[in-house]
Order: sequence, then structure tokens, then C-alpha cells
Amino acid sequence: MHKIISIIAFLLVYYSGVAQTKITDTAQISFIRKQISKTAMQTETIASEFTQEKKMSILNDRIITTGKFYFKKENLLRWEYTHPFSYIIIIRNHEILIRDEDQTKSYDTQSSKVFSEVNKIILGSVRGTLLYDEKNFISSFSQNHTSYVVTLTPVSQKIQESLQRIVMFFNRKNFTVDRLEMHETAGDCTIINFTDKHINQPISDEKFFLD
Amino acid sequence: MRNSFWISLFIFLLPGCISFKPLNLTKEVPESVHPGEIQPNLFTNNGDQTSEAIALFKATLDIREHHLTGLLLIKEMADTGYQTKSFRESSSKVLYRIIFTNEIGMTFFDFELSDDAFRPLFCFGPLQKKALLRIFETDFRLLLTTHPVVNLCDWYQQEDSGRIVCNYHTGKYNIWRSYETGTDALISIIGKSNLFDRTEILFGYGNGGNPRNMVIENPVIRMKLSLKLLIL
Repeated sequence: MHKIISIIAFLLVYYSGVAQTKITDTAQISFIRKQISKTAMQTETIASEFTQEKKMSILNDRIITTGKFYFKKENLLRWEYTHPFSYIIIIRNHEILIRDEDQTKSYDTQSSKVFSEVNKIILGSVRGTLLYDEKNFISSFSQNHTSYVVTLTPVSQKIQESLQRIVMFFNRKNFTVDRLEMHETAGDCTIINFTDKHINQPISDEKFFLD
Repeated sequence: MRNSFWISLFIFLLPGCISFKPLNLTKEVPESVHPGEIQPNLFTNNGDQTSEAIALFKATLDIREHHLTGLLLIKEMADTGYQTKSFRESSSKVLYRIIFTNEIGMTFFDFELSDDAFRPLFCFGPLQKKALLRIFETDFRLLLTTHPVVNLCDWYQQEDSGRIVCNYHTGKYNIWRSYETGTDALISIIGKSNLFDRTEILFGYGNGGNPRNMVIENPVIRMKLSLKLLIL
């Protein structure tokens, strides 16, 4: 009997951490928004490992890639895949640099409005600042044991064609993004988990150039 | 002004007008040197009917000044024993899903392809042009569904390389396939149905019999899709 009660208690505690409860209290929402904004303003650099899982309805297994992520204020981002392929994307203001195995190319995002928008979503998602893009997204808030969860639903038709919603999980302690979920209109989903995060540690500008 | 328009049009159409038949071909090669297999095995299940038949590629797509990168997945949805059929048997109907996504998981396109249908299930805005979709259809048909039937082929041998070349028509496509002598490895597929959809597919092999790299090129519209196999 004690064993059954223990198991039930464990499951209740576990699921209370995983399950999300919606936040409707405007004061609490305002607090969360302020904290996220404050963190974003105070964050000069982020260095992190990431694991990315792509779930596709037509596949039994997920596609898993891993890598490293670096951000430096204002608009410097290095997204480096290390497994199962070597691939580096650097966003440096309006410029994109790509190293694909041994080939390097550069592009100007300003030449295409659409690609410029995609880059804004990438940068805004990893920093958490996308929630302030009220022109293109409606936000709703919930929470669980470890995170404040912000769900962004696009209002822009162009973005709606690709994305159904973006879900950002903010760490309750430091309000940085721990996890991103990109849910596509067709039903597929990409989940990115950030681990081993280092905030405001020095990152050389050289990280955002390719040799 | 009018002259510059016609000159521009001519330059644009020129790649489609240039003959795409491989050079230096001699005719009537003996049947004994014909390749034994239809085309390379792209999929992970190697003909095992109980597991998923997929091929996952690291992909880059260049269209004029645009450059898209990500992962391209091809899944064979219907099990017909296709991979084990010999060259002399006709193909059976299969259904393919072809999905191209970027590094953060946003889908560029999602196509469904069978012998008699091509359905874009999703296409990223800038790629959603009728003419471009027709060219994508040609690209993936040549790669996946247009199989030669031996008694409808003309056979040649290329004088300089020694490669065996077959030419055939299937549906609206005129197709040339080149095979390496000795290994029977499929080296290239060149095909088209009109001036605009000329497609050239080149295969690269590592150790072993399956292609590790492919480049699908459409010279008329200056589009190039480079694929590097990630899972097999």
C-alpha cells in the first residue's frame, strides 16, 4: 500500500513539473515580460551547446543534430553543427557566412526581405526577444516547475505559411531560453535544447568570422 | 531596345537549346555489356521490406543569387520490391515524399511523387512558382521514377571514357543515362521534356556501391541542388 502511495505521489510531483499551467494574471505576465526584457538587455554574450531534434510525421525516428551556439550583442550569432555533419552559419548584422565542410560562402540578407525575416526569427528566438515582435506574433504565457513558457502564434500570413507556433521555454532562475520548439503548419516540429550555457563570458569577435 | 530583348531571350534559352546528348558515342554495343541494375540504392533499408526506406542528405540549393541550406529527406512510402528488381523488369508504382528543411527545421518544400502524380504538399513562398515546381518535378522524376526498359532503349558506348550510355523516352522525357563499365555504377542522368527543364544529375561514390553525393543541376534557370548522404 505504501509502495502504491509513493508511486502515485512521485507521478503527481513529476507531472506537476512537466505539465504547464496557463498564466492569466496580468501582473504576473507583466513581471515575466519585464524580467525577460531585463535579461535580454543585460546579456552581452551567450555560449551554449545545443541538441536539435526534428520530428517528422513521415518518420518513425527523429533526426537529431548537435552543435554549439554563440551570441554576442547586438546581432552576432554563430550556429555551429558538429554532428552528424560539420556546418557553420554566422549571422553578422546583415551578412550571412556559411561554412559547409570546406566550402565558404557569404550572403547579404538585405537582398531578400524573406530571408531577412527568417534571420530575424532565428535571432529573436534564441535571445527570447521575439516575444516583443507584436506586429507578427501574439503571445500567451504558461509555466511549469522549471520554466516560464511563452507561446508565439504568428499573425503574419507569410510566417503562418511556414510556422504554426513557436514555443520558448525561459529558465525560471535566469530568464534565458532553455528550449525552443518550432511547430510547423504541416504538423512537423523542431525542438532545440540549450545546455551548458555560459552567460556574459568573454567571446572573441573572431568567433564570428570564418578563416 | 527590341534587339537587346531578343538577345537576352536567346542567351536565356541557349542552355536549353544546346544538345544534351553525351558526346563521342558509338552505336550498337553488345547486350553483354549492359548494366545489370536499374539505378543505385539510395535508401537505408537496402530492400528490407520491414523497415523504413529513407535517404537523408545534407542539402544546398542555389537558385541564382539565393542560397538555401538544410536537410533533404527522401522516403519511399510504398513497398514494391523496387530495389531488388533487375534491369529488364519494368518499375512498379511507388510513392515518394521529398522534404527539404533548413537547419532550424523550417520546411522549404514537401513534395509527394508517384509514377503518375506530383503533389506539392508545402512550398516556401519564394519557391512557390509554377514553372519552378515543374522543374523540381522533372528533377525528382529523373532521380526516382523514370526507369529505363531495356527493349525501348538505344545503347551506345562513349569512345573516350568507355562508358555505356542508354537513351530512352518515358512519358514526356528524353533521357540519357551513363554507366561506368566494369562497375555498372550509374554516373549521370541527363533528361528534359522541354527547353526549360533540362536536368543533369551527377552521382559520386565513396567506398561501396551506393552513391554518397549527387548534384542535380538545371542550367537554364541556373539552379543547383547538391546532396551529400548522411544516413545509409
